[in-house]
Amino acid sequence: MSDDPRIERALRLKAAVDAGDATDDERRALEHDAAGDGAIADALAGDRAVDRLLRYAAAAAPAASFSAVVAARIDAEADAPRFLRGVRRRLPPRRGVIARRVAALAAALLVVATVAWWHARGAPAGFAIADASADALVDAAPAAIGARIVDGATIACGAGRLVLRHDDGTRLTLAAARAVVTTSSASIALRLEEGAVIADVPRRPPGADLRIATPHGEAVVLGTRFRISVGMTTALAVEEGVVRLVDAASGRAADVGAGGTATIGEAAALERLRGEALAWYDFADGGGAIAHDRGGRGLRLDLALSDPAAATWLPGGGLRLDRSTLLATPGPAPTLVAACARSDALTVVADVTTVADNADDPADSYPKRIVCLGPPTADATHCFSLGQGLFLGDRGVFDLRLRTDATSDDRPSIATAAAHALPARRLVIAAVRAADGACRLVVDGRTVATRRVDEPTGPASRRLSPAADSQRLPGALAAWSAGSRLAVAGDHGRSTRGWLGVLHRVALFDRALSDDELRALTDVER
Amino acid sequence: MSPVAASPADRGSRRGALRGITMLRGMDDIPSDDECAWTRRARAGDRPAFDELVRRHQGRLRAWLAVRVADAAAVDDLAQDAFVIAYGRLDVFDPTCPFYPWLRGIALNVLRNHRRKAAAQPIAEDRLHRLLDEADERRPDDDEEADPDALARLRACIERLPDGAGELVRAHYFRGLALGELADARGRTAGAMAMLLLRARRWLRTCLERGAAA
Repeated sequence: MSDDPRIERALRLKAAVDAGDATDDERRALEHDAAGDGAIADALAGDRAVDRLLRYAAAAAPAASFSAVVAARIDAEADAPRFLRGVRRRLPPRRGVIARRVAALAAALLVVATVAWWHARGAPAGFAIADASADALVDAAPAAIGARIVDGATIACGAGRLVLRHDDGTRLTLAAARAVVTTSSASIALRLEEGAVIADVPRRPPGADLRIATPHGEAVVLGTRFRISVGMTTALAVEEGVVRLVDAASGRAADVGAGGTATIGEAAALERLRGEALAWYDFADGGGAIAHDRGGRGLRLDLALSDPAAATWLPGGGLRLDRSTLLATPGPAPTLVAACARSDALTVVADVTTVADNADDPADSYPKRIVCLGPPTADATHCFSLGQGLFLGDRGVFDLRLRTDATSDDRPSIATAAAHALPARRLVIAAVRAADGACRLVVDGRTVATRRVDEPTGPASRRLSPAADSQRLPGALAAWSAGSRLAVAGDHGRSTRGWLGVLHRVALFDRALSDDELRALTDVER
Repeated sequence: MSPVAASPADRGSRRGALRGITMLRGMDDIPSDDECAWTRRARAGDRPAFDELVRRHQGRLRAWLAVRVADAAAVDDLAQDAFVIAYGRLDVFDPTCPFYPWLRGIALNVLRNHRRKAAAQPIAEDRLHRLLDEADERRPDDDEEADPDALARLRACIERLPDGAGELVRAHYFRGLALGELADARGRTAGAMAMLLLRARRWLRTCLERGAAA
């Protein structure tokens, strides 16, 4: 890493510090070196500057649920007792602790008195709506502030929020959520299908837990403040107290304390996507000449390897293509074609390792086909083609060609603005076309800048649009031929278009996958 | 070779050696008419207008915090705290002034409170980071923002990282996987992952500096 042994030692210590493995003596040694040695200080400062820049770049992208959670927290804050809010803001920490305890005691007495009052007047325990945004629905009807929630009520917040207050003082703020609420005399249960919940729960008696179930498991609460959100996985962040998180798949439970976070459901996310896939190849066959389709829709679009000697099945999954070959369905895939025509949307995902050899071929042998669908003749137009490289152009870009009823062939196409395929590495490339015609390319779970490639009279007339996150390829997918066959790593009748590298997973969907889903396909097993 | 104390001249040369990855100060803080309209409406109690301000400024504020707080979950929490406090104090905000610097001032106070709480915990790493900040001659609480050119160069350099280093950098920084998670996925130790990331950052530094010099 460095020719200077002092710097080499310092960097190794820094790595140990980053990993939390450094001893106190090692930390002190590094601090001493950083303070007293200009070269070491420079190396560490440079590392820190790059670290900061990376963190800046990662955080600068807008977060999808951030606005909804802020809005929910503003509502939660606004609904807190006014005297408590003032105390929190104005008093210094030491006095604040005392004041908060007094306030908490007062609040607890207030809750006890309120509950006793409710019981005395015979009112049933349960939730009422404390606040709601205009788009929040309860049992498909607009949420009315003050209305009580019946057992089994279905809540849909849309992009907004809904605040529920239980008679026992429990307060649930749902943001961009879909959920079902059930209450009994003692316990409270919420089934959260999507979105986030901020829970503020007074300490509860034994046997009267608050349980929040998600598709991936369950959080059991005794009395705390925490946030739980559901996308493709379930993420829990605890602010106060302890929450027990139970993974539904394994049955394992973990107590998450204040300041802690936990996530469950990664494997379930993958399984859910596989269940929806028109075709799904994980190349875990281990040998033979067939890559089996394990997509949950049951289309059985197995791929036959035209030259088994050109490929090597890898232990643990994966198919390495050492020479040009073709994996293709032996017959047409009309069900796949019809499904995409119906939805007018498509997602193609390829988890692959690129190789430098793909960039060495003549410029007229591109794009190399990673996944394509089309009639089994060399001169036919593809329905779609996800490939690497542009014809007579940049060999490192990814390119999506798509035929619609508004085009005479599979042009125009969209191509990544940067050469993401190079240098050789493992990556997940996804091509997404939404029903409104918006197309984008996603690399490793992040949408990358693309250019629309127009060639009105062939490659010599090529025009590239300005780079943008999304490009429109208008028209419908109804023009696709029912006789089309699916091909991977090559093209029907065009041996020069063979793609080389390692196939880890290829999947096709008849809808535009969300960012959350594409990230799940990238994160799992990576 | 014995350690050599850093002289002021050394520090000057170090600053020069970090060209291409420096930060800028006070970017586009002049409010547009559009922005003024949103802030006025928010100040008058219009919640959708405040939601729009959150939407506009969340990325920039989270990025500003991310430079100063290593824990990605804490970054989101602190940014949310800042927006919630800002909403409660809109009545003292001058809508003819830019919203973001005011918001960042609130975030700075939130960050200081967070650090005060963290300081009560025995985390020796913070002391090291303070030393590194001093060595870099930057204060952690100033108003610097990332240079857009540096961000563009960074993205280009990440794409050119050799072997699996780019994937590692993306997984750690952009998808938020901790060192332990990366280690589990690859059957290696967290220390080995930290070392690989450190190597990747050194490579990126060289790449950024070459880009800046070009």
